[in-house]
Amino acid sequence: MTLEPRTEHEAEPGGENLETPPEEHVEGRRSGSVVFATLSLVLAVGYVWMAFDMPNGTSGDPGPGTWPRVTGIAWVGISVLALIESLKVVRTAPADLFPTGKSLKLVAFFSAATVAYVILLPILGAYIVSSVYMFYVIGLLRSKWDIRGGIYAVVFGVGASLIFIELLQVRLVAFPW
Amino acid sequence: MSATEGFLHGLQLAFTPELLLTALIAAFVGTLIGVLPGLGAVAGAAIALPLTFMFDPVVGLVLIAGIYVGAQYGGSTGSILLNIPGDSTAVVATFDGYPMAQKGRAGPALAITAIGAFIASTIGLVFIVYSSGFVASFAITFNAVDYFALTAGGLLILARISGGTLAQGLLPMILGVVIATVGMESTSSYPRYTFGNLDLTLGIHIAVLAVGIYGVSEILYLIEDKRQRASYKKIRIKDLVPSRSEIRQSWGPWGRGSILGFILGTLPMPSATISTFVSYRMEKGIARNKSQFGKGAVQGLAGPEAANNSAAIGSIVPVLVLGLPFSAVLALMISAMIVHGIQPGPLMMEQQPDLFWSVIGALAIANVMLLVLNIPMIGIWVRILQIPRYILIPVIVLVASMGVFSVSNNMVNLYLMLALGAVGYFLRKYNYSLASMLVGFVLGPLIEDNFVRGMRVSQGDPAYFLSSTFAVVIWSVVVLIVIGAAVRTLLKRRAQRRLLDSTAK
Repeated sequence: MTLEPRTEHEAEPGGENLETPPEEHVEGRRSGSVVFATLSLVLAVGYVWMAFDMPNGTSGDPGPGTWPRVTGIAWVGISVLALIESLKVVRTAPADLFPTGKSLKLVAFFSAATVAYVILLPILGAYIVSSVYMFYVIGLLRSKWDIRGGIYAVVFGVGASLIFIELLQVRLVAFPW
Repeated sequence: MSATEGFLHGLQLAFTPELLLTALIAAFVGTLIGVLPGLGAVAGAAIALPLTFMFDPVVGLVLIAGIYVGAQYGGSTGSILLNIPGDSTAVVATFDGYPMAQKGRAGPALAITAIGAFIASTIGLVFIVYSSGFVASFAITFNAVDYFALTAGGLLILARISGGTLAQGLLPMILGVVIATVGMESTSSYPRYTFGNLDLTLGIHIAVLAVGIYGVSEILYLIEDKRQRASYKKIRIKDLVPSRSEIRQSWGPWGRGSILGFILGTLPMPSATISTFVSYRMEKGIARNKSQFGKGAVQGLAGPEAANNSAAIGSIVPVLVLGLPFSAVLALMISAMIVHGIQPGPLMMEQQPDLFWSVIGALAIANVMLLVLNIPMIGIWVRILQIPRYILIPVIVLVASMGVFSVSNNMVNLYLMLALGAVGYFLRKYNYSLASMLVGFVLGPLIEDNFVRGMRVSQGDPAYFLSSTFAVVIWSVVVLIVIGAAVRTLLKRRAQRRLLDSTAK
């Protein structure tokens, strides 16, 4: 069986790919990059704003606000550069930049399950939540929930909790009671 | 203590049951991480990082370093057998390694990479042993100006080289630097960007950032990966023996790759990956049988594999001797040192020689263990390539989450890990360099410290930062690389547009 190598989205280090991709992909990617750069710019402005509320000291004795001002201004500048680049530069856009269809469903359900795992961990305890999480994710990735998946879930869920809580003495909530 | 005495002393120190076991575990885990497709050395080391805080400093450091070197070893197994690189450093191994496997020479290809990696790492270690003292004695004269130039300039160079466009390298770098400003400022204890949350006053831990941006985003990529389970042919030990001709063709590339890799490893760049491409081009350039490249040329596999492993060893020099990491895994190593109260830098060899030399000694032992693990256990590694993702993915999440929680027994770490995971996922999707973010996070406080010291010494005169020859040289290189490359890209783009216009007409 021959397998295709993993699609490398990254350009060669230091290089830049200037090939012209199909128009719809360029547009999709460009609008995403613009949103990303704009969000970065907004956050950078907020960061600088807060930095100016911190004590600045003097030039011969900088205070805790000096460095955040320097880096914040640099962040604003780089965000503007990113925005300009995302509007001007045409980059190669892989057709599968973001998942679609079944793949998107998998990513969304997996992400939701992982968030739920983290939220429920201190409430229901590591042993129960880890096993339930394992069972759900194994079933999600295999597209079926059966006894085999349940056995794997209990073995790995309980095993990992046991190692961290009992062996490594990590102060995780073990059980809800 | 001379370098040879120091190394022998380090070997002696490393020959304790505890360190031998650590080196073995690190070599095993590192190879495992390298072999598993998708899970790279950084994500693996990030997930293992919180666990290292539970042990002695030297054990923690050997674990991280062993995982790093082991991952370089293991990465090429998937490249050769399945045409699936375990990591970016193993991409070049697919060029000639996979064609060799298709010709029925998979065993020798694996043996050539394992032996080459051993030779390269050994040569790299010899260079470290004999160059560290010289570099340390030079670095001991550095002041705030030199350190500021080295850290800030090095970070800028790394960001420029790692990313595609200028912004793709610089934006994650500055994000790393600003995330590092969260928490109490070291000299005045003023809380910065904590929003009144007590849990944030200690700042964001590197394990949280590393597991978030690398670990979580890597898992999401694994889920998206639509490839089916790979099939493989059984490989027996006797199948591993290369022919005389294959060995003869490998010696030169092994040697050249080792020297090239070590030199590139000491520079601020993603050297392990870059060294493989440079070595491949070099081998192809000097080869008589150029037409064989891409069709299973032994030199095309042996050279880059040696370069990759030697670069991994070489990049440990700036970490141990200067306290400066220029790759994501080494940023994790530095943070492990700082958590253990070790101040890496030129004085480390003098003030903590036992620690310095035992790390070198343990690396040498881990290197031998890697050879022992890689050749006889090849059948097991091949089987590991087949671990179903439905088990691998949730197990990684459990280990990563519990590990991140254990850093300070705090749920905030887990919430931050998820948030940073989402950031890392989108950064990767838009081609932003995650390595410069992690290195920026580690170097940020060092840059700030040297900036403040410099301003105090000079009474606020910014020209002071150009008062040493070393600093002027570094900043000139930065200008050349950062601005020069941007100008070159602009000219290239203009030329391309002209070409497109003329074609349209």
